[in-house]
Order: sequence, then structure tokens, then C-alpha cells
Amino acid sequence: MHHKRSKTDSRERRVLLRLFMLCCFMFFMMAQGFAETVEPSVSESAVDSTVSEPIVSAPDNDPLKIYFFNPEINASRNLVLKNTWDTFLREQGKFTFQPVDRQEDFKQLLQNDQGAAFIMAEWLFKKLEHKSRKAFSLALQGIKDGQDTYKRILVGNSKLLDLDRARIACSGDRTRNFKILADMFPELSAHQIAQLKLLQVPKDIDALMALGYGLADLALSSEVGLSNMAMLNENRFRALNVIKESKPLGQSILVFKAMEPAKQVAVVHSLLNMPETALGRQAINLIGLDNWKILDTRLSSMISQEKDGISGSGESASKKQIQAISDDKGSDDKGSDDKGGRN
Amino acid sequence: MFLRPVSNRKGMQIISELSLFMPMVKTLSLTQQGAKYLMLVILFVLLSACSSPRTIALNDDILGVSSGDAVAQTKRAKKVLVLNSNQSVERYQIAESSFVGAMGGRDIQVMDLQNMDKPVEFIQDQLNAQSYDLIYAIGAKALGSVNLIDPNIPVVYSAVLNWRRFKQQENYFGISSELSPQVQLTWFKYFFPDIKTIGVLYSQENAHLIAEANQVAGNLGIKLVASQVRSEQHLMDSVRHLLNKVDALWLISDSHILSSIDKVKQFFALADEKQIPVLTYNPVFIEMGAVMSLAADLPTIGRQAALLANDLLAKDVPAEAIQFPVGSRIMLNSQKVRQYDMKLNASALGSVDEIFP
Repeated sequence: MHHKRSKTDSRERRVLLRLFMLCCFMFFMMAQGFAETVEPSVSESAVDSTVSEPIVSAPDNDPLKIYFFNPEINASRNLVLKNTWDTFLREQGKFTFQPVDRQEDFKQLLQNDQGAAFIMAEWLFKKLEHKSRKAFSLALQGIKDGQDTYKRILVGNSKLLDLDRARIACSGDRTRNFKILADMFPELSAHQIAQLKLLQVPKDIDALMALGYGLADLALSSEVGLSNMAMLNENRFRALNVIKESKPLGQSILVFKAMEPAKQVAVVHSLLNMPETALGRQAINLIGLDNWKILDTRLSSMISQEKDGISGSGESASKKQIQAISDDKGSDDKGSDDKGGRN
Repeated sequence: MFLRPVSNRKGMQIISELSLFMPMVKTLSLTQQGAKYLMLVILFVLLSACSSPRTIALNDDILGVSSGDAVAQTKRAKKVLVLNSNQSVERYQIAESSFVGAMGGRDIQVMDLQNMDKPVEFIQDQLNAQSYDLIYAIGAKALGSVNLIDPNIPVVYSAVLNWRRFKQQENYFGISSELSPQVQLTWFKYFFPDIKTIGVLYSQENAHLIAEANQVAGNLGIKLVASQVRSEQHLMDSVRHLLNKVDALWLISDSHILSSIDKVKQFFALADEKQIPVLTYNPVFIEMGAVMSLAADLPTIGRQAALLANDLLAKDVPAEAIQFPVGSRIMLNSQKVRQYDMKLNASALGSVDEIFP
């Protein structure tokens, strides 16, 4: 006997059907949303999967690459950085220096390049997820005037602050500057921060001079920059007020990814030599540092052993490996150690 | 419920075709009531899930993206005309692209005057056809053409060598082509702290600039030895005289001092003979023997012009009609630094953009 559906049942069916169609639509929109708005980053599983399955690994005869990225350093200087660093590194071994212009490209290199070294802003490294950071070994941290940290400061002519109208001169990456200002002013909404009038300038000192000489109302700069300017022009720059300070930020760090210990020692050794030669000092000064400190105690002891010549045979195993790497320079010419004796 | 029942035949056909899920529900032994509640729960979960990633993504990116969106929504009404004297000239192109990039969602129309014989007529036609709120002129051809029309809207300009001509013009606001004397002298002192006296030759066209520079030099602990040149015949004598009294020479943009290539070459030859470093404003002089050049950073000029334009569009008129560029581009001649045995502040190297050779 054919069961006759009641009107109520039909209505129920229609409601259920419409609910089902709405659910499908919402699911589709959500899937689109994930694809568009969630930016793949080094923290995502792509990195984790590459840790155990190397995609790119340079052949042994290729120069060892040292990549560099710091959004607080103007990318237009990358050519002078590369030329100077390559000239220095050629004297040290088979190394090549590669500054990277864009954060996206640098993230790709972090994910894909094996057996390479990376010099990067410490805060950028900390943005990587803990799991991804395990793929890297921390080796060195930069030092400037004896400090391994620095602070960004917001400086003005007076203590009064009119952020709505103020023109803020700042160097470095725009997004990063907004983030620093947001941290300095937690009471401001994201919309208010986004409305700030930022005037991007190439250098830290440009920002301070813009403020000091009346071309900007505020400057987002560094303590070191302000103190340098105050020494140069006391009348103008000592009168400036530090309105806000960031928390201490670590100087640039050097990390290795999947690199043999002997090669790590060779790289670290070369970089530690930088303050010893005029060319090395020039190269390290170009990235805003004047020295390095070792973070990896294992590397530190290997290098100490090499210096002290500890072992029964008179040469440590690491020293032999380092020698082998240094000998592998091939036909590269050794430049003179001290170029002209300036400084 | 809020949903309108489907009543037409086609709708019923669709419903019957799509009702395949009903057997699936039946196999789960769910009543229709239960299925309805299940759908509501799923819908709720999907709505929640949809909101979370968008919020996170927005929080990560809000500072970079939302400002442009916010600007776009509130400022779309204002129209800006950009006149580029010649888009194929790199420094004009850089100014244009950094200006447009920094204007954040405004309605901008760009015109290239490169191949136009009669740009004035063309611009006039454009201004008659559309209502603009501001003009940004890049280069002398663009500014000169606008000046002949003299529109009743603010004009912002940059990359104009003879910017001084427009200083007193009402409604005209510009970015000059050279860094201010304060900035140049401060950089000199920062790079070479041992320099105590700097010589400079100038003509009447730069008298005001030298007066400003004198004030700043004092604050920097520099003695500025300025020599006004009244005729070309006396130029080289003035150079020789200065070279005996100073630690360095400052070469400024002055049409009477740099009247010919030969004069410039003589200038550098004399300075080199005395091993006196020359500090200058243009990288073209580096190959001629200057120790350092301090030029204005071109992308920053475009951004600065954009900030100025936005202020003018908001009726916030600046006090000064002309601004000096705030960004610098520094080229260092390391060969000359070594040759003259100059003491260079190592920390200053962090600010160098290019090292020659």
C-alpha cells in the first residue's frame, strides 16, 4: 500500500534539503577562504615534510651558500653587500654570499635549500614554528658595540603626541614597522595603527635627520642611531625625546640547515675572522654589525680545539677536515689580508 | 521557517533529484526531525569554522592590507592626475611608481608626455574633460606645461632641476632634487669625523643655501670656508686658494661653478694634486674622482610626494612650499679613501648603498 506523505513531511523534507544546500555552500566558501587567506609559511607542514625529505641539495663542488635577509636593511644595498662579502669570503674558502630581496623568496629558500647557511633577523627566525626551527642549528649571533640586542625607539621633538597628524619617518619593512608601532601602542586598534602616516626612508639615519631637520614629526629609529646623531650634532639631536621603546630585539643570527659539522666549523671560522681584516670589517659593518659571538657550544669547542691543537697526533679531526675544505679552494686566488691599512 | 517553499514544477524536480541524501539519512536511522537538528548543528560548525581562519589571516595581515582597503573606501572620490614628462626615463618612472604605490587606492590617472609636441593642449583637454583634485608633475616638461595652464588645483612636483623658480608660486608644492645642506654636512661628518674644515665654491644663486649651511656647520663642529665666485675667469684661482686652507671640498649644484665639463675636470685634477677629497651631490662625479656622493633617494621622493598629496587632498596645507628629500643614496669611492689615507667611520658603512669601484 502506497504510503501517502503528509504535508508536514513534505515541508520537513524541503527544509532539510535547503539546510543541506546551505551547508554545502558554506563548506565551499570555507574551502575558498583557506586557499586565499591562509598564507603558506615556513611554519606549515611543507617545511616539516622537507626536513626528512631534502628537495634541493647542492653538489659538493658548488660553493657553500650563505643567504642573507633582514627587512630592516634596505634591499637596494644588496649589490654592495654581495660584492663586498664575496670578495672577503673568496679569501676564506669556497663560499658565496647571497642577499635575498623578498621575504617570500627567503622563506622558500629556508624550506627547500639544504646544506646552506642563513643570516637573518632573529625575530624572523623566532616566527618559525618550534618544529620547523629544529631543522636549523643556531651558530652565531651578531654583535654591535658589544651588544647582541638593540631597541627600536620612537623619537619626537616634544613629549606631546598627535599620532593622527604626525608624519613618522622610518626605515626597513613597512609591515614590520606597523607591527613595532602596534606593540608600542597596544591601546590603539589595528585600524588606528593602519592609519598612521609612515614615511619610508632608506636608512635609520635618514629617519633621524628627517626629524631633526624638520621634515618629519616623529622618527622610528634605533638607540645606536640616535646616540650617533647626538654625538654629531648635539644641539639638534640631544633635545629629541624618546617617546616609546621596543623590547630588546636580538641582532642578526647565523643558522645552518643540514650542513656537515666540518663545513659549519669552516663557515664559523671565516666569519669570526671578519674583525681581523679590513675587508672583513667592511663586510660586517655593511650589515650593521661589528663582531660575532658563538651560540653553539659544540662549534665553540671544535674551534677552540683547532686553535689549541688538541689531540694526540697534534691535529684534531676537525682541523684536518677544515684544512681539506680550505685546500678545496682550487684555483681561487688568495687576496691580501689587509687592504690598504685604513681604519 | 524563514525559507520560502518551492512551489513550481521545476523546483519539485530539483528537489526530487537532490533528495538522494534522504536514503542516506534513513540508513542512519535518523528521523526527519533528527536530521533537521543534525543539519543545524553542521551549519553552526561550518559558520564557526568559516569565521576563524579569516580572522587569523586578517590579524596577521591587517596592518598591510586593511589600510589600503580603508583608504580605498573613504578616498575614492578624489581624483589625481599624474603627468610624467617621459616614462622611459628611469628616475621619472621610479618617482611615478613609488608615488602611485604610496597613494593607496586613490583614483589616479597617469599620462606620459614623452612623445607629445603639444602637451599643454593635451593637458588642458584632460582637465576640461574630467574633474581632478590634484596634479602630480614629474619632470620639467610636465611642470612647465601645467604652469602655462595654471589650474586652480594643488600641483605637487618633483624631479625638476630648476625647482627654485616655483618656490613662490601659489598652490605649487614640490620636492627639491638635492638633499638639504644640513643633511649633506651631517653625512660628511658621520663618515669622516676627522674633517674639520670644508671648502665650498658658490655663486649668487646659492647664497641662501650657503648661509643655511654655515649655521649647521657650526653645530657639527665643522668650519665652512665658503668662497663666492663672481666670474668664470676667477674660478680656478678660487679653487687653488681654497685647496690650501681646507681638509675637503664640497661640490654643490651650481650652474656657474659647473659651467662646462672642462671646468669640472680641472677642478678634480687640482683637488687630486693636493690630495684633497671632494664630497659631492651626484654619483656621476665619483668616476671623476669624488670620494663620496650624496644623492636623493628616488623612491623616497615619490613616497614623500604621495604623503604631501594626501595632506593637500585632506586640505592640510604644509607650511613650506618646497621640501628637501628625506631619503639619501650614498656612493663611496673606496679607492680614493685609501689613496688619501682618510679615516672612515666603520659604523657609517652600514649606510653605504654602493662602493666604487
